[in-house]
Formats: sequence, C-alpha cells, structure tokens
Amino acid sequence: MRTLHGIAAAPGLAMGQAQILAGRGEKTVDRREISPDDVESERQRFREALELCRAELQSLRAEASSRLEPAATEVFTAQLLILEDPVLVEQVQERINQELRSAAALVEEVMEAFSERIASLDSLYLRERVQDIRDVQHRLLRALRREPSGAPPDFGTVEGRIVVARELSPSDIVALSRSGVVGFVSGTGGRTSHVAILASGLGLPAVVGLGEAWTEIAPGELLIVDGDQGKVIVNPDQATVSKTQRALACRAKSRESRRSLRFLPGQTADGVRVKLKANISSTEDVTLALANGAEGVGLLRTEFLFLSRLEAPGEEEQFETYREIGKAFGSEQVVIRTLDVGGDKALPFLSIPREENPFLGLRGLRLLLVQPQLFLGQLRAILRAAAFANLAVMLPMVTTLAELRQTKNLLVQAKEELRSEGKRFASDLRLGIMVETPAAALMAKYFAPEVDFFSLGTNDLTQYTLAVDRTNDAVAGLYEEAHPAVVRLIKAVVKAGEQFKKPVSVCGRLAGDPQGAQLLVGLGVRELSVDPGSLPEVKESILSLTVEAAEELAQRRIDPQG
Amino acid sequence: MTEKTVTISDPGGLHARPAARFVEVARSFQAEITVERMSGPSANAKSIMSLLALGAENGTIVTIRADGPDAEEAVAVLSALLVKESNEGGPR
Repeated sequence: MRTLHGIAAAPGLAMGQAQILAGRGEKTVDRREISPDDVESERQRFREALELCRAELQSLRAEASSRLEPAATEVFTAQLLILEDPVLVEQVQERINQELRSAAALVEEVMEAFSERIASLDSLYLRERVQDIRDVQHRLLRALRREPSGAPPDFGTVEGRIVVARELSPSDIVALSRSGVVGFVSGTGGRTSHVAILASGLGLPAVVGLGEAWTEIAPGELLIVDGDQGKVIVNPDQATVSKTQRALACRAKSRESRRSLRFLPGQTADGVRVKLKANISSTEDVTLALANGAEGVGLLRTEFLFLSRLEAPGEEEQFETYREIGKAFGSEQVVIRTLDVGGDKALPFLSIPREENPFLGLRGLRLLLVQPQLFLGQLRAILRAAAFANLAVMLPMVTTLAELRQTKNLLVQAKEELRSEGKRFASDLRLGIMVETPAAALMAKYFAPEVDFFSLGTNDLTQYTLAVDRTNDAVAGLYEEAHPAVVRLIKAVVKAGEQFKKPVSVCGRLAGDPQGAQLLVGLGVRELSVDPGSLPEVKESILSLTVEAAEELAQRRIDPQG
Repeated sequence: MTEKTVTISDPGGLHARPAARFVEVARSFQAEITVERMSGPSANAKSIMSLLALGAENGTIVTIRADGPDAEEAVAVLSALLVKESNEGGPR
C-alpha cells in the first residue's frame, strides 16, 4: 500500500481498478503539401470541420447544462469561443492558399503557437486554460480526419474504474462519465481547472496535479481516490479496503435517502410545514430546481437577462422569459426580483458612475428609481407574464418607505399603460420587499401593512449589520450570518410578518446551510429559498427537526449568554 | 480610429472568464479592435487565444483601439468592462 498526494479537485470518495488512458493527439497529422487545384477543397474541408466541431460542442454544452451545475457549461462556451477564434480561422484559410499546406498542419501550428505562448506566462490559472485550447485542437484535427466523435476507442472498459491519465480534457470527462467511470486521477491540472469544475458538477471525485507520480500507477491496480483530501491510495491493504467499503456504503445510503425525500413536501418531524423553494439565476437553473423538488422559486435573479449585453433586453423578451419560467413551476409561485445591480457590476447600456463605495451607493431599487424607463419596462413585462403564471415581484435593497411608495406609483402607471394598450396583465400582482438592510428590518412593522410579503436576504443583511465585506480576507472571519445581531433583526421581521399576516421567507445563504435552516425555522420562518443543489440537504435537516428543538436553538442564538 | 488607455482593475485580470465576456462583447461590434500592452504585444480583441496570450492581469495598462463605424462605442464599452468588473456571485 502506498499513498500519492495531489490536489483535491472534486470532492467524494471512490474505489476501483486503475484504467490508464493512453496519450492522445499523437496520431499523425496530415502534413502533405497540396496542389493549387486543391486549395478550395482543402478550405471547404476546414469549414466543414469547424461546423462539425461547433455542433459537437453545442451538444456537449447542452448535455452539461442538463446534467451539471450551470457553471460547468461555461467550459464548453469557452471552447466554442476558441473554435470560432477569428485569428485561427483567418490564418488557416489564408495560409492554405499561400503555403499550400493542409488545414490539419496549419491548425496544429497556429494552435500550438498560442498554447506555448500562454503556457509560458507566469500564471497557473492561464496555464490551465491551455488545456481547453488543446482539447479544441484535438477535436478539430479529428474532425479534419473525418473520424467519428464520441469516446475514442482507447478508453477501453471504464465502468466502475478510476481513470488515470497525464492530462484529462473537459470532453474526456463528460464522455467518460457516460460510461460509468467512478473517479479521476491526473498528473496535470489544478483546483480551478475545468476538469475540477466538471468532475464536481458530475459528482465524481478527482485528484489532480500528481505530477510524474501518476506514472507509478500500473493498469489494473486497485485505487482509492479521496477527493476531499487530495490523496490516492494505491494497492490498499485489506483493512483500508474494508474501511473504504463501509464509508462508501454509508455515503450511498444517505444519498439514496435524500433522493427519496426529493418530492416529499418540506415539513418538520412534528408536522409543521416549511416550504422549500429554489433560488435561480438562469433558465438552465429551472431544470435543476425541478429535479431537486423545489416547491416554487423564492428568488429569480433577473440579472442574467441584462448582463453581458449592449442594450437592455426589450419588454417582449423579458415577458416571454418570465412567463416560461413561471409556467415551468405550474401552480407554485415564482418570485421575480427586479434588476439588482450597482456600481460594482457593470451594465454597458447604463452608465453607472464610478463610486467610492458601491455597496453604500446607487444600487438595487435606488438605481431602478433613477432609471424609470428601465424599471417600467421590467414591471410591465412581469405584470403581463403574471397573467399566465403564478408570479410575484420583489424589490431589492429597500431602505425607506418612500422608495416602496414610489415603486407602487410606477406599478400603477404600468398597469394604466397596459390597460390603455389593451394588453393582458395580472392586476393583483403581489409585491414584496427584500429585507437586506438593518433599516428595513428594524422598520419591518411599518413596511408590513404596505407589502404582500418579506424576503430576507441574509448575505447583505449580515454585511450591512456587521460592517464586514466577506470577500475581504482581512475581515472575513468576522462575517457570521448566525450572529446574534443578525438573528435579532430576522426575529423582528418575523414578528412584523406574524402581526400583519404577511409571509416571511429567507433567500440568503443562511437558508441553504442545514444548520442555518434549522435556526431559521426556530425563529419562525416557514419558507426557505436555497440554491437548487442544496435543496436535498436542507430538506433532510428540516424533516429531522422538531419545532421545539429549533426554537431552543434559536433562543440560544438570540441570547448567547442566557 | 478611436483609442483609450486603461488600467485593468479586475481581480481576474484578462483571464479566461472575463476574457470570454470581453470577446463576446467585442464580437458584437463591426469595428476592428485591438488591445495593446504598453510597449508590448497587441491582440485582436475578438480573438480569445490572442487575448489570453497577452497575459494581461489586474493592474496591467492596456490601450484599446478601434477602427470602424462603431469604433467609439466599442472603445467606451470595452474599456468599461476592464475597469468596472468585480464582486460577482452570491445573492445580494
């Protein structure tokens, strides 16, 4: 038995025989000279190869988005950008004619030159991106050879095995996961490599960055991959094997039991209903939320419609997106948060002045109120979509009642416009506010009569209450969402909600943490909205909890001395 | 021809994710656009590989040049992308 140490790239535990992946890309590249008569057909061959690769990458991206976390689909978006790189396309096209060389030889030369330049830069992160360029290069060369896509034959039998290679590409990972591989080990790669992102998204453990040590693993040797600690045990002894088998059985069981809980409604062990909804940030998240048994959406972030584009999305586009997302959840409610941006997030079509202190600046509702056209467009789209689905609207970053009232005036205006245009809309659209500032929390009972619901954004509420930026390493240790000061503010909002019979939900990170969720139930919160991936875990923690135990937990946080 | 010199203020520099977004935006303009490091190499702003090879990081000074019908807008939008990005993630 020996242990190899690498980098923990994707969490989890796996045991299986080693399957060594032979190096690829070493196939002979067609370097023949071509005759001037063949220039056009060689160019045509190149164009067809580009087209084929584009279709393959698009379908990999679609597969990734249905099976993996949304972040993982960016891997293939990045590869599509590489494939469509105009410098690559133009150079190959021109040089086929000037140098009378094959498209394959030129693709190899141009892309290798880029890879070498990037690999020579003093940045680990950039060096890892070279992997994407090589992956696209191999795909293009294969398409130029007119070989079929899919798993290359040298994968061999991988079912139940651990794949070991010098280098793994994103497409390898996706293809291998289809064939039942249980874990990955590689010589190269780091924590931020695409391999790490994809393997985590697929729930397969991976240890990367072993260096040359990977060559010490022989085909067929038994391996244990510990993706939490970044180690690989080769030829474990009997005691270690038994221990690992027990750990694996235990993990499988808890996974299985969580899965079976998926479509049970959220409630505590003593039968108190706690609705578990999803936070979503894109249309892709809808599938993930539904697959994890979300009882509606407590927070639809609409920024995805606005970011990375030069003009604001039109009302029609917004209307259709909101309507489709709403319909996907049937009778369950989808709460749409209006655009939440500020000086720290750029929108090319809004010139937001640079601010010394964007978190205390023109952001959220404040920004919308000085951009009434943008705001009205979004409100109109939501009002219209709400005629077709169960939607509600929620305002971000509210501090004063005046802001709420101004918004209500705009809603009235939007409805009047729609009515006079003869467009269908929901006249009874429910309006809620996010409670993210201590001001809104402390004044909740004054807001309560004028809103339909509250939603606590605990991330910002914590940052503003404790005066801590959690992305600042020097003070991040002071950031605590379950801090008694934050907990007391939450309690104030719950009380106001109870008094005026207005629902209070929580959509911050605290709700997505199993212990945080229990604390919130103890404070009287009966609706939690969490990232889709956290739903099973949170549900499990609520199902095992009695309200009495939760209330004790909450009392200890409210009064830590008592 | 329009140009603007900016200091990249994005913790991610022009690394993969910000670079991808930069390229997507650059491709939406007709103008020919380059990004040049001070007294150093220059890259086609629509080419992701050229941009990555530039190795521009947080704090690197670059000049964005554009030539074409929408050059002014291109320079304004792209330079804003390099200096304003930060703090993504998390429900706020």
